[in-house]
Parts: sequence; C-alpha cells; structure tokens
Amino acid sequence: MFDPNLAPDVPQKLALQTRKGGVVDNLMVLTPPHDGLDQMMRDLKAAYRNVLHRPVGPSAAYNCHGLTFAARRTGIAKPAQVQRILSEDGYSELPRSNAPCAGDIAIYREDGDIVHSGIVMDVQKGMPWVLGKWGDCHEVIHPVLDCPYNKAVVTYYRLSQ
Amino acid sequence: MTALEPITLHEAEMAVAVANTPIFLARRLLENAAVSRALTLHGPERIYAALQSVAAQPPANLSAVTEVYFYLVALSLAPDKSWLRRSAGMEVPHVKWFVDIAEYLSDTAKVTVRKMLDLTNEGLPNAPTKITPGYIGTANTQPRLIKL
Repeated sequence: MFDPNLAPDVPQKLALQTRKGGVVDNLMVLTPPHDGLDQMMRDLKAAYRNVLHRPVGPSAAYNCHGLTFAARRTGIAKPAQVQRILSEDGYSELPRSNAPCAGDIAIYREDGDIVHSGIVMDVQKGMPWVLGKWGDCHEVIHPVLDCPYNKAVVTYYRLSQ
Repeated sequence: MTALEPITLHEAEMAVAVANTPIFLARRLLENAAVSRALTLHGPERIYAALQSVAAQPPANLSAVTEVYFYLVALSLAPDKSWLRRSAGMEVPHVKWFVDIAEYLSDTAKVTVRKMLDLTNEGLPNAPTKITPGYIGTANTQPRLIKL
C-alpha cells in the first residue's frame, strides 16, 4: 500500500476497495509526465474544438477510471477492475430506453473490453456531455463520442443507493 | 530521432498519450499502418535489436516510451511468433504497460491452423455425396467450417 517515504519515481498502489470489500488493483505514478505530452495536449485541443478542455494535466497520477471511481487519486488500468467496481458497488446499467442524467457513469467498451469511462455532467438536446480524463493528458467535458474513444460502444450506469 | 529510421511516431504517440488501458493502446497500435510498415521495411531482427536498445534505459520522453510499445507491437505482427515471445520476456520496468501489452499480444496472436479433412457428406440435402471441407481456426478458438 502507499508509502509516503518512497521516492516519487516508484509507482505505488493505494488501498482501494469496492463496497463489498474487493481490493481494486491500481497504480499511482507520481513522476513528472513525459516530455512531449504538452504537445499532444495542444494537438488534442486543436483537433477537438467544440469541447471544454479543463486547464489541468498532464498527469500520470490518475486516469479516466481513477477520475470516475477513485476521486482522481490513482490510476485503474485493467478493465476487469472497472467491471468489478461496477458489480460490487451496485451500479445498474440503464436500459437503452432510459436517457442518462447528470451524475450517471458512461462506460466505453470496444469488443466488450472497457477502454474508457467518464461522468455525465449534462444532457443537452438529448446529447450527454461527459467529463473524462484522456489518458495521461488532461480532463475534457465533451459530447459523449466527440473524443478519441469514439470507436467504442457506450452504456450508462447509475448508482441508486 | 528514433532507433530505426524512417519511422513516423506521431499517431502512435497520440495513442500512448490518450490511452487509459493497455488494451486500448495495443489495439490502436495494431491498427497503425506505420507499425506494419516498419516490420515490412526493417524486418523482425532489426526491430528486435531496436527494442532491446530503447528498452534498456528509462524513457526520456513520450517518443521514447512510444518506441518501446511500437516495436513490441510490430514484432507481434511477424509471422514467426518467437520474436514476440523473446520480446515478452524482456525486463522493461520503466514502461508501465510493457508486460500487460506483451500478454495481450501473446494471447491474441493468431496462429492459423489449416487442416483438410476428407469427409463423407451424409445427411445434408442437395449436397454432393462427398465433399472436402476446409477447417480454419486459431490457437484460441474452435475451428469453424468454411464454405468451399
């Protein structure tokens, strides 16, 4: 578990559990981001003009799943861990007939594997806007598929209790 | 400047930058035409040597970490799967998803198995009395019948 005395270049895990006590594998990388990510962020801002790029990042300390499920404290890279959180925390998948609302979770899957997640911030004219973190880059609020993960199928989840 | 020239890394760098999971990154690199082009241009032996070279030290920047993944995925496309096995056995502690991606590539590496069976085709309407169907499958899937 996390040891504040270790050097920052040593990746560490946080004690992170589901509501049922299942341990969630995670990795927090506190070293400064690689040189070159700033240029990628500039390229992303140029490529995605109709979204809100939050003035944060780059950071390898957390990823999209860390933003969605762990309050930006760590990175969760394995799809099975995200699936475990959904199951053991008690999230329900919304039927296609139910529109998502602010606070719901958007899960992006490619061939069944979870590749991205975000939090629904708003629904405008039927279009969900999602807050997500784009890898080691920055956080973005964007129409659900106006992002680098647009090959994915998106489903929405809600925690009712 | 990459260990092998000419290689265009920009699209791969973007994939590394926005990847939240190793599976996403592996898939984007497998789709990247520059990766397969590198294999065609340089061959597995030179790419393996380049991977050894870049993996030997902590990556100094995004390009360096991208090169590691790029060469690993390129080697997974080589018909001779021993290149991938040798690469997967490397110790690359400074590249956080090296092991995950190597495992993913190893799991999904398709080894085509072709076996011709001579079967008597009984019980199928409107079929010749004897056919020679082909079975094609992978190491990870059940063989499936293909139409002849």
